[in-house]
Amino acid sequence: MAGSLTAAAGAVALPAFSPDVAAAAPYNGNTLVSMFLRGGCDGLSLFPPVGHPAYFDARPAVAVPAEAALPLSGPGADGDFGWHPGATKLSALFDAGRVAVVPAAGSPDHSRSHFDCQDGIDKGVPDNRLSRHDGWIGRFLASTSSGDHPLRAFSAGSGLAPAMRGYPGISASSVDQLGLSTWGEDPEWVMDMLASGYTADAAGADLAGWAGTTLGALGELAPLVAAGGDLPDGWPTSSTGRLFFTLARLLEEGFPVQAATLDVGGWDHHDQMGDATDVNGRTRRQIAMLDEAVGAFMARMDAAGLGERVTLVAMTEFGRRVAENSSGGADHGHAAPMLVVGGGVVPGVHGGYPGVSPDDLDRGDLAVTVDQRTVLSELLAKRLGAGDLAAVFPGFDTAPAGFLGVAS
Amino acid sequence: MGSAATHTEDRDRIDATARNRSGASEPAGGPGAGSRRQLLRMGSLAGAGLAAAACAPAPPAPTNPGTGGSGAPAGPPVWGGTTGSLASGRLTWGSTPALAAHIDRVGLDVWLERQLAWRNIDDSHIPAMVAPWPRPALGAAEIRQLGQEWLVAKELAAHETIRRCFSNRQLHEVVVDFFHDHFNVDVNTTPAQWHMPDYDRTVIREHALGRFADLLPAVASHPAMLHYLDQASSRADHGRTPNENFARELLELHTVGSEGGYDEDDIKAVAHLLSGWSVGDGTGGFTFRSAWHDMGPMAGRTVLGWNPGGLSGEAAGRAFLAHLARHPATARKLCHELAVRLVGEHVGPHDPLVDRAVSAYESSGTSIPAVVRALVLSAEFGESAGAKVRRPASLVTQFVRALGIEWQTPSDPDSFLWRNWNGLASLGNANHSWPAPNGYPDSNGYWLSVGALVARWNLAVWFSHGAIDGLPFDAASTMQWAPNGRWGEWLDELAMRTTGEPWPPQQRTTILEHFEVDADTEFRPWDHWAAPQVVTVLLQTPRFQRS
Repeated sequence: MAGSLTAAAGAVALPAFSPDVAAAAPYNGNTLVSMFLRGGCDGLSLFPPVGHPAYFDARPAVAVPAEAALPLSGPGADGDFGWHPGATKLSALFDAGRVAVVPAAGSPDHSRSHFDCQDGIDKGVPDNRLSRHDGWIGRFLASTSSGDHPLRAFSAGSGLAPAMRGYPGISASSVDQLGLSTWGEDPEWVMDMLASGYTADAAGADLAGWAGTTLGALGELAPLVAAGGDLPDGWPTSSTGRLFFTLARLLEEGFPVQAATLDVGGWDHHDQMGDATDVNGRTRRQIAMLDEAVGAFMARMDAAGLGERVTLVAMTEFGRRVAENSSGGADHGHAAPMLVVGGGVVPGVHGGYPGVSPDDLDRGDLAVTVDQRTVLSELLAKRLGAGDLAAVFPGFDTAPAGFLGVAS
Repeated sequence: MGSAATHTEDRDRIDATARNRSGASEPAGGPGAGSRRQLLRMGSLAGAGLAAAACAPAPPAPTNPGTGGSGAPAGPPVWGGTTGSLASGRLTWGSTPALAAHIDRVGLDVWLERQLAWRNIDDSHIPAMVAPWPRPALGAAEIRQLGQEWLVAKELAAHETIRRCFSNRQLHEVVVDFFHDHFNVDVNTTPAQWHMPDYDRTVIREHALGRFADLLPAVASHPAMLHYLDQASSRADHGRTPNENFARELLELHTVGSEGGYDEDDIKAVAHLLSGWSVGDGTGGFTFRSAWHDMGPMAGRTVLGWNPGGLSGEAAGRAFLAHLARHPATARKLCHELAVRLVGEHVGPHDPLVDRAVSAYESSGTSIPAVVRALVLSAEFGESAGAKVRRPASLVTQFVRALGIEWQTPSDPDSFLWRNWNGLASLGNANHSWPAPNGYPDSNGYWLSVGALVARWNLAVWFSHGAIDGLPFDAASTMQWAPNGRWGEWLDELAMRTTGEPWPPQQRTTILEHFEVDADTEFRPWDHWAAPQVVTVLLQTPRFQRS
């Protein structure tokens, strides 16, 4: 079955997407993985500012105790921060010079709304989010051409990530979901029937277009699906861990994935954040879940010789308020953590830290020192090459300023 | 979710069975290869179109985040092209030619009124069908007492799939789903999950076709929502900072919307106003804890045109909810969301259709049926055929209803329970499982991607092979629909009886060629093996993906 699908794909390769209008961004072997921590990740837990006494004043119940935080020292840190005790693998990656930390990133959106802030960042226009339907990654991919392999863009998850809208990417939660079930029928015939069914639907353009893209991708993916997608022993079994494994399989099989997305939910800790020293604490479990998944993924990339090819960037819609609330949690705040992990990073803490004393705050919350788009445009330019950043982030000055956490 | 493994094992087992009885296969590059090349070209053209669209700025005031910004309802009329076929696809959980003909016969307005009067519609067959799964009929305390609370979500999902397929109160089921999204509670959170069946039964189902002014306070005082949005633990006494979560979503999602005219200080004030809205201990119901309440900055403040006057305590919160339900921004947001659900995402919040729905809402004292009436009995509705891509849960029920599958109490209730839950979860559409408080997206673009289409096509294979305990289907039995036992008449009857329109001619020809028959060929002894494959092809056609 796999063999015949592969043969079919070879016979009908997808032509390039409008190559004459797109800027060339030849695939250079690098992959950018954009992770969105949905719900508002608390940077004050992930990188607790244990060098700032005001932190402990604002969070009498849920601050990470200074003695419990893992040491975080390096360029830009100055003893300001630690790592949350659940972030052991990220801390080790940082110590190995493979992580850039941006503790106070954010956007001009002051709404504190999950949906507005996510929408603005996903679309890459946080100051004018209703002006666009498409996402920043989708615009980058649609405005460049790399040969347009159907696996060029991959969303780990059950749907296409909002940031990838505007480009016909592939999505799946698991390798199994990329296999066409044919129930004993000849797969060639099944695919031909699908094609003829959707061709007859030509008037409804987007279904037919998606069907064509899907059938092209299925042939490419057949060998991967045939190899199966069972988690190896010891791999994190969280849903995030499973998504990372699916992505790892695509990359180590050599598919030219230029951009990938991965959503990690579960960060909206309005209550019961818990004790950072208790492994069952709510925020600790969440951070450890992320940490283990990223750690396993990077180790697998290293083993495949891709550790310098793959760069992860993690962002969230907002950080949480500096002051805890009456439920042992923290409500929606402003500046948010970003992490850049893997190939090409300039290790250290970037963008400075505005402080958490009452006088330092912006409307009660951590102030923003780095616009998220500065980090993302530097990644696109230096890791994926070329592209028209003014089109990717319209209305934003993408000239390097402030971040410079990516070397090449 | 550990369920993925089970799902895969089942599929492998059934794949193996089918392989043993499959007939001859066609060599590569057989009939139809030409159309595949043609479609692959279309795929690339669609990509180019997306690229071009992405370079151009979007039109002003866009509201639909669909991929490629698909604006006007595109596509051919679905399900026969009549008002009845449109309404039977959009206002139920699955179109059937019989229902479409019925609506055309009695008139959409008559059918709509009957559906809106949902309590008068006999549904007495449902309780026996859902009887194998007891938890959704219980209250929170009983659910905890029974144990295995994690089964609540799965059992409720089984009930809902059965109701969606077989209830006669179809429009009610559609609007119930809408309000579960509007007032989303993630059933996979504790302790909200203990209260979910009661929330479904006494709040959403009770008020979905009632008055929004009754629905809103019922939601705001239900333990499921109070737990889910952390209101239950919020206190403002002794200078404490109240939890803002519910206050924010109440304004942003449930009522006026983020452009409704409030700021951060208003959020903090409303969090104070609602402090004390809590629940009793354990599995207790709504309790106003006056000792936790402090009006704080809300006293003397005006928010969204309302000020408490001399009120405080629970009465102040209830007065504010009553104000919110009648606020013009709430009316517009709610009417627009319902228009997107029932007509399509091409409808903008300031379109004349929404204006008329807002007028109906305001002049009827927040009546939801009045809004539905204004939206459905409109020219815009009549022109919207094919505008919506079915969400996965509705594709499942569309298959059941189109194939005329009759419920059969499963030999193993657990089998149906998990098949239903795992199947919907793998499609990204398990009941009440959207993790954020805004509910599942109602946008074509969200539900279309390469992986999503594969999952939809694979779902068709499951149904055509009758692989679901409880929803039996024997594809070969449809061959009895051919009066003279010939291939051509079978294909025609199959298409007409399930979709109300003929099979696309090119595909019909290719099927006949593949099985080496003519339209006039009489069934051969081995042809019943072909039936599931033929039904698969039918269920995979795009007409099932739209309404």
